Amino acid sequence: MITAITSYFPDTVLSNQELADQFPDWPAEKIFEKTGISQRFIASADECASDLAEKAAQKLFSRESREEIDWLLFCTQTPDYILPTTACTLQHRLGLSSDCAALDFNLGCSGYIYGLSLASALIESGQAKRVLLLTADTYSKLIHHEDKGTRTIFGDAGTATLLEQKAACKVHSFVLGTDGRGEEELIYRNGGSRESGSPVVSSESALSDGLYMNGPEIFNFTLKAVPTLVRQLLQKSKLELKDIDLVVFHQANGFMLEHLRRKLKIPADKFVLHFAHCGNTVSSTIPIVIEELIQSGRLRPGMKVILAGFGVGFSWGGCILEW
Amino acid sequence: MTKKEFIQRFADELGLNAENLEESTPLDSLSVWDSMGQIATVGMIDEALQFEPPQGALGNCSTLGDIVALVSDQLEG
Repeated sequence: MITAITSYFPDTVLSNQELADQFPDWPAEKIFEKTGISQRFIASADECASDLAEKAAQKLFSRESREEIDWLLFCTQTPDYILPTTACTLQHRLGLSSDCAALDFNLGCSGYIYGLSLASALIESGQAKRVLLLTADTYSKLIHHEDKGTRTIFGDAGTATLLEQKAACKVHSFVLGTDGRGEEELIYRNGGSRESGSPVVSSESALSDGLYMNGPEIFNFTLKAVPTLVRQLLQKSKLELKDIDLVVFHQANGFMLEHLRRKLKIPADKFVLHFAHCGNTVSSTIPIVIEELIQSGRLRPGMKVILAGFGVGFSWGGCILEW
Repeated sequence: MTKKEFIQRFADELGLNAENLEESTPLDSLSVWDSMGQIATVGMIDEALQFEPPQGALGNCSTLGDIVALVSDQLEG
């Protein structure tokens, strides 16, 4: 199902030392010790999520044809405009056929799994032959400059995944879930219809106007949701943990991931971590990890991989990737 | 785990001296009771007591005694 994956990061790097210089009680070594993140990439003022997604897709098209792509799915929570759909502008900018369907979907850390689910359903039902799944976000534009915790965690990035019926690898046994009671725990209130205010944070914005993240509650949610998700995934796929070669969770932060790994008794050598260089890039974390697994040769034909995303919403999803 | 052991574990997790903690200690008076400290506490409660507090419960705690009360059903004695 998956033919190729590429990623793109903006040029600007925000290092732990730069954060430490601004927040003296948050030394660079402590940031890394607590989060496992050493730096994150930040989009420039005139760089939107669509630009990151476009660049990731252009990298993909340097080795794969753009012909006959008949569906474009774009996962973002930071679209260019409320309307039109950013995927429509990307169809044009990427030179895709006008026979290509295009839509945005608004999900965060679970988004890549939902995208895989949608893309595989479109292909398996015969509605699509080649699906381009893009993910990109510029959370940095929503985070207040004085919010050291949230600035530490999130980075900007875009990815492109090409899915085709002919590809040897499969994605299956999807488990998806939602609990909207978590809406207040990770929220950016402005820019929509319910509340007035700027769709991006500026130096004049109040701290309370920025992205709000209740870290302890989100962690508490993952402790409930992720073990159940993994159990359901194994049950649905008729696999046991010993049959799984690699586990790729949404790369939220080091503390959360290590706790989940221990709780689920996943061997460290199966549990993939690849976020120190870019932080939590929301819906892009999982494809960034898979790209690295492919490039490093760690992902080999026949391997079975658990993919799981979870976060804002609350929303979660998982599947089995058979490479 | 007894209440005393739980308070000791809480102190260890946050790098505090348990002897300086009372159940009446306001959490806001602890400099380490920030987002990271609260996340560490959620992890400690899960690991030590296999208990995940209901949504919002930890945020409603204002003293150490409130946290003890939150997990009291999981403590011995």
